[in-house]
Amino acid sequence: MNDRNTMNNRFQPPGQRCFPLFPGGFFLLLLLWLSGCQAEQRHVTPAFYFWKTQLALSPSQQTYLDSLHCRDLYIKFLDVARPAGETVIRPYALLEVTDTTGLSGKNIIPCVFITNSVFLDISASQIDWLAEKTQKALTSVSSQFPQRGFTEVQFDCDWTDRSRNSYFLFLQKIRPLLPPRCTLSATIRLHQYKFPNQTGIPPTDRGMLMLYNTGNIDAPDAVNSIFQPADARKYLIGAEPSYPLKLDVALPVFSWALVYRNATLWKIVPAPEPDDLADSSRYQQIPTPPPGHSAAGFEVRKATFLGGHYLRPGDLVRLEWIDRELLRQATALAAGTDLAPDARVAFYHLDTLTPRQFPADFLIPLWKTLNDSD
Amino acid sequence: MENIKRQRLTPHFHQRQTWLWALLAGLLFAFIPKHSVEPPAASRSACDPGARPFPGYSFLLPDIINKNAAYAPFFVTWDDYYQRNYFGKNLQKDDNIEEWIGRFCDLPDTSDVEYVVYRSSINELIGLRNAALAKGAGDLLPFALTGNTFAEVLAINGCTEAIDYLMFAKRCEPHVVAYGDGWTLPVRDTTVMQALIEEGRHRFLQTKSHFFRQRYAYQVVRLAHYARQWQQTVDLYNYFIPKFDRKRPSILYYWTLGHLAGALQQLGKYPEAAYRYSVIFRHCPSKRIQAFRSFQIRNDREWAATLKMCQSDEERATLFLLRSARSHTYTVEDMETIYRLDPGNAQLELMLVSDIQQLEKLFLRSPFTEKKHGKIRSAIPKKAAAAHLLSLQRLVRQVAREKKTPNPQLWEAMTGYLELLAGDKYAADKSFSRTKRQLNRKKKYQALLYRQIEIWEIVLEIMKLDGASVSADQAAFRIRSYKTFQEVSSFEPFLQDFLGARYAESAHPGKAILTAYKPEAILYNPRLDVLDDLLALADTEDPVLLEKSMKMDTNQAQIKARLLETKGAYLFSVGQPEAALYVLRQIAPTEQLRLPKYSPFREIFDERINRPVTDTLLLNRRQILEKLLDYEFKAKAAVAMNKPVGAWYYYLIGLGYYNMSYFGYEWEAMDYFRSGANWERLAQGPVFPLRNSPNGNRENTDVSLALSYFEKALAEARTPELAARAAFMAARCQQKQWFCHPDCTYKPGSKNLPQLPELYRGYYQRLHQYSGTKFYQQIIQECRWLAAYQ
Repeated sequence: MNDRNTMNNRFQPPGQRCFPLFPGGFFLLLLLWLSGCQAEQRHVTPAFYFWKTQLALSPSQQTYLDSLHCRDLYIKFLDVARPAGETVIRPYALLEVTDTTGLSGKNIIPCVFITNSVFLDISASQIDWLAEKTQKALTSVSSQFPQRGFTEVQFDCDWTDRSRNSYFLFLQKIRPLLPPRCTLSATIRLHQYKFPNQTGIPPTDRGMLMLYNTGNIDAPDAVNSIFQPADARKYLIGAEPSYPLKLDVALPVFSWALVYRNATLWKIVPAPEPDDLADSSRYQQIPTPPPGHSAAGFEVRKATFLGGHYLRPGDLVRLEWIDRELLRQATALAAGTDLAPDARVAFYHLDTLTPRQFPADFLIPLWKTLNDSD
Repeated sequence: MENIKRQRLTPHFHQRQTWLWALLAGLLFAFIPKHSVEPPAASRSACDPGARPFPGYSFLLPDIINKNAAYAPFFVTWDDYYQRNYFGKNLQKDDNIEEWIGRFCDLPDTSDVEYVVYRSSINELIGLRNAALAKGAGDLLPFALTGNTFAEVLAINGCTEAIDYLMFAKRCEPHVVAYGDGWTLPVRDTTVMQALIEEGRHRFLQTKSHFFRQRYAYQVVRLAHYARQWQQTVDLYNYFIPKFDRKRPSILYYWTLGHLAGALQQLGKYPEAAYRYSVIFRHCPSKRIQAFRSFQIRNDREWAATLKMCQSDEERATLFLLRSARSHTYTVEDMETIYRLDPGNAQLELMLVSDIQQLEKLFLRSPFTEKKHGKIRSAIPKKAAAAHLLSLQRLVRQVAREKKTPNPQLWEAMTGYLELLAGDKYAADKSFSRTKRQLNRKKKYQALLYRQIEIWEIVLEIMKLDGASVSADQAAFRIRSYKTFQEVSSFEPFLQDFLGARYAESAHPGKAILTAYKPEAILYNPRLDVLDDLLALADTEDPVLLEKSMKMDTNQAQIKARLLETKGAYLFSVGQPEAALYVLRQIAPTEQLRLPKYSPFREIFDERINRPVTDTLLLNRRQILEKLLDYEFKAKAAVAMNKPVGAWYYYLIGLGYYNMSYFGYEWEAMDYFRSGANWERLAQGPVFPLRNSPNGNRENTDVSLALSYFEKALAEARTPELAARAAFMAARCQQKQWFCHPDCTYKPGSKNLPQLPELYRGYYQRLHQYSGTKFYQQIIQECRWLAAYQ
């Protein structure tokens, strides 16, 4: 219906002058109002995710973070999952800090990854139990850090329609168990960003919009499942102009090799070395995906090891990476989202190769494009 | 108007079609005898959201390999057998207790050793030590140890060395176990651990017994490992191991080796670690699972380096074995290598059986298996699987011929089964006969293999069934009567799928569906070829069919009548009334009396799908068709003669077609099964997925024929009242057409008005022209939202 016209008509009947009595006063008031209500300037800060199970920043990583003026580190503290066929919920991969060098002065944001299956068929009392256990785990892992407390805790769960209520209840339950004034944040997938009415809005203070994993990882013929601007655009076009939570954004800076066996995703090899697939006696490059998508396909010709997995002839490997151009495009798309004025732009994730692939002199001007110009 | 009652199967359906079920059950019984079993509960169509993966058919007897063989769980799968009997056990504890019992000349009981070693408190051990110092003073034993045979042995023999070790181990224990429930990080007191390491080293040096020296070394190395002192772990291992007498085997050596391997891996020495894990995997059952899980080779260089460390072909064979098992698929190349290096390696049999389990899943499938259970996940492409099967056959023949393996008869038997999987039935038959002749059934294992071959022979017999043969039904009955058939649960569903596929290949689609599915499957989305095949079957003198039909207290004429009725209803539903009438007229007059009756020509303007109680004349399908064709004749004649009644006849025909569609109260006249759930997905129709139906469920959602008659009625109407009626019904048709449109987002049942695009609103707008009619005034009262479309 013609809502817009209806609204206009309500406030300004045709032919009637606005505020005929005090035009000068009105403009004065308007100026005052505009100055008071002026949209806050966006000033983003850089952050990095650290998603491994052992934390020891290398000297080059420390230097890299310093040169980026990066204070904020989102660090995965643990995973929570329900093993297939079991009812019990278990913690996995509690973070082990093997070296605290370089962590002092950093703002550590503990992250907890919880699989969606945890929140399927879970009772309210189990949710209470899970919240308590998670809080204990966070306390236990945090004891390894020099920091005395944390200002934010983030939960990462790709919730679905079936799990939403339980996940949101969990978030409500854990909040009072966290330190006072501790910000609670949750990751927001692109489809959750686009359809907040259908998918729900987590009861948190902030959301971290994940601007990656836009493709279908299970499809052997996908082009680049990490990020494709066209795929991401589908989610961003048509999204509401404002998201109900303060949003930060996560951008991809990682690579992986996806191994398909019998047309089914078999293994994920994180961050393969550039030369790993160079041996043409073992890997034959195939035409899919086509060039120009920061991805390359290979067929295994001779049995070989890759990332600790034994590949068979006939296995297909799709190497996917993010190059600088793709990251630029992702950043440009992020600029069009409803980021908070104090948004963090978090790069996923800090690896040994990251400083080389995305040096500070490239990354700093890039993330600064997300700032509003004065 | 939208309060459509959703139902899977209406009460009418049950009431009116009881005879049909009885009949079709009779038909089904023609193919399935009393002892037939239902397909497994897990069997669901691929479209069913609750479907569980179908594991595939298997005809391998678990006992043909030694399921208790140490390596078996890593290769073969038999439901949860290994979870229950292998992984669930604490082998480490069992093996350790066994060594303690052996150390004390088999005198103590297992449970007593278990208590003293694993559960006694430090105070109880102190009490025990005091008793041991006072040799034989049994009355000094702590209360909890009174009557404990192991404590008595220790006390009477004054074994303070053993008790000292147990006390030391008890002190080490808190530092080397996982804490709590895993939700918190273990807190290690490395200072105390280092003190214990030092103490343990001294105790090792002061202890004479080899048994306890090994245990002290193990405790110390383990402490260093848990203290995360990787290099210290390696150094301690290198310090202790030369001091052991390796000729005295002990599981403690492999346990200690496990900690060394763990430390080496942490130090980045992957080949060194992998080699040691392979040694543990080979020799130490109680640490086999950990070794299997920890074995890691990252790249080809490390693989080559690990291979170089092997000191024998047996060790090399173990490495190949681990590599294969870790990647979850076995190539013939791997098996050949292992066979060449170590032909006596019992694990080859496990690899063989495991591989054949995979091949069974692929080759014992028919198109009906796919339809019922969906495509197999992670399946090797058929071409690659065929090549794999061929190369496996070559290897199996070679191994069977050379007889170097511990169990050559198994390889011999597998030759035939692989031929069967490859589709070479003749060769398989000969191989089975040959192998059976060679087996001595007095020997337990050979008798088992004999039974295995008998099972495969039944598989072969099923695969030989010829769908084109008239005796296929009887052959199937004979096969079902075998005792072995009844004992193996996979046989019945396999036979149904396989025979169904054979019938389908032999142009017997009706028999195919009745064989593989329940009889109602032919009704969900009737197919002419299926119905014609069954009609032809009803005309034969098939003894099995007749026999079973008689058991159902029915007769051939009745069977034929029901099939003709199904065919007639189908032709009617696809807009071929003349053909439908022709078919229905073939039903014997005696059977005509049994036909269900309907009343499709009533004006009912709400959206209920159940026929209200009526005193109207009820008609069977044949009579409805005759009436429709008569109306058509009269309508055309009236129009030609410019008589106004023509419009009324067209209106009645439209009314009949609408009321008998998916949206009408008399839907059963044209359909046997209507799912209310399909309201939610009309645009995906008219054929919707349905469990246990090979062709889904077709709903009569097409109302274009009804609309065309309402349009004719509107064109010919001479009175505004009739025009209003025709316009309203035409509008209803257009609304339903929009509901079936892919762009329609309206959810039936919603309280909101369904918004109709302009293209679908024409007749609602036309209805407005007749706002002065009585009908309009009546309908505007009944349909309160009608005004929205005006």
